[in-house]
Amino acid sequence: MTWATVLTFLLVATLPVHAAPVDDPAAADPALRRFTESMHGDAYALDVGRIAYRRRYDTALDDILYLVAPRGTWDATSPAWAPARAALAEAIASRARPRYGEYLPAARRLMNQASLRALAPDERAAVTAFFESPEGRAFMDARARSAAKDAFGVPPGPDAEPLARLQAESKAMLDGLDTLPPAQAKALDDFLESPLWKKVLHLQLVEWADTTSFFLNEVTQEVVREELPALASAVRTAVPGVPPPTNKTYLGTVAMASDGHFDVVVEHFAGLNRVGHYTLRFAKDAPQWRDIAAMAPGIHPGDTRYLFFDAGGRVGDRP
Amino acid sequence: MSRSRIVVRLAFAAAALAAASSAYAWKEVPGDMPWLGSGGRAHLYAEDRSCFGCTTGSRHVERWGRNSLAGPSPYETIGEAMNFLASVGGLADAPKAGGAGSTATERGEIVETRALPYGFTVVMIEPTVVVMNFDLVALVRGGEPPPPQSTGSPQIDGWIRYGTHVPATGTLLWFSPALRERPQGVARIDDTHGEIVVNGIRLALARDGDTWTVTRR
Repeated sequence: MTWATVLTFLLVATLPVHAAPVDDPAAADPALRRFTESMHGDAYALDVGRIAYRRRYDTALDDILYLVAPRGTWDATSPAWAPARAALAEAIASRARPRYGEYLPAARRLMNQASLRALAPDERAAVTAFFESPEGRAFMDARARSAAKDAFGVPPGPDAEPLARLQAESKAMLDGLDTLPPAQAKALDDFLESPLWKKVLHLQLVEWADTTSFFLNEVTQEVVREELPALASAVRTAVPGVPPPTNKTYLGTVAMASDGHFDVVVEHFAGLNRVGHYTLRFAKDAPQWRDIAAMAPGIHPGDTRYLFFDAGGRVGDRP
Repeated sequence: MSRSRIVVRLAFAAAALAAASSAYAWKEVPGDMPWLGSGGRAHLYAEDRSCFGCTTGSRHVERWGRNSLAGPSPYETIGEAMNFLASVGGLADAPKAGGAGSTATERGEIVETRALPYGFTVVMIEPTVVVMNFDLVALVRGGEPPPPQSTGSPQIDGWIRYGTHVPATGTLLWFSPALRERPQGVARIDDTHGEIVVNGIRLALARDGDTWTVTRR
């Protein structure tokens, strides 16, 4: 049983019985299904989506840690940060796996639509023939392993195999392509230099990757929205040094300049998305200057304080 | 009585009945309404009118003032106030509201929605007086469900309240579009009392905990 088959089985097995049916006429097209499967389509699309999603996921992990304990109480330099980040990643991944399974039919429908748009029937047949050939299978196996290695650590996984093993296997499979019989090597080279390959690349790395990374982002946001207390609890249990929770919300910072004016930065988050970043200046003779000074008692020129607000809307510098 | 005079009387009676039924269709909405410039509280009326082409088949309309026979809606009053605030430069330095984009006003102009560190409360109508309370948290409130007695404006992110209670979150300013009064500080203010004098009308502000209460004197 291949790794891709295991993954597909895991994802399909986690589909809830109540999942809404997705209207996907293309799902019944055997030629299209064969085209996708010849490229390890579902698993490969998921891995390239994970790779595309990695940068956003890295940012999301930081933002979620600030939901566990607010900005101003810790950051990437705090001793608890790195272990908490690892614990959080594991907690998210275990919750993301079943949820991604719910999105799989929708992802497949969009992938099918993209495949139908991108390639004509004869082009899809040619691509299928290539990937079902010995050289095509060897090439796609190596690519799939390489993508799994590059996607390592991004949910939903699974990352059951250690990264070092994935790296070693990926290298061995890539090296194996150099030992293909001459006829197969030529067929591989010819295909990779054809305009058709450029279309396949665009389909896989842009269309499919966009689709799956979009759903991965949805899944992460959903996990945070619905299971934040459980995530926070998992992180605190794993890492005792996480700062204590607070019922206040991070608002931004206030800095007092040498001439006494205040520079206030307010950051507006909607879920994990930073939707606003506002910089305001209050001169010493502005009527609001006293309001700001009262939020950060004892602030001196050169000082910067974090600002938080409570459920009643009261702003202060205590988390 | 001649037949023509009877017809005229019947026509008058029909017109009066039609006007009365129109007025009675409006239902008064209870609540803490703003003061009226001429005295007493404003009355807010609402009606669900059937309309063709609406997705729901009806349209919710509101008007406020002394009675149900005339008057703008709170949305129109607040739109006029925010247009005035924009026209006197009150929004010029305000940053664009993140994620809000551009919106069309009721006059069809396209405006960039702004984020302001203020709450807004319409405390009087005819003429309109709006109190602004300095509130940094207002900058992050966009997208929340509307509080009671509030409506939106394309000009700013967040909700604009109406009534006689103003959150005590910081410095108070006020302005009046009808009287061309730009935003200015509340007069004779200390920690618990303040005053707005507009067009000979005195609005007294008294603070109780986290709220200022506005009373027409």
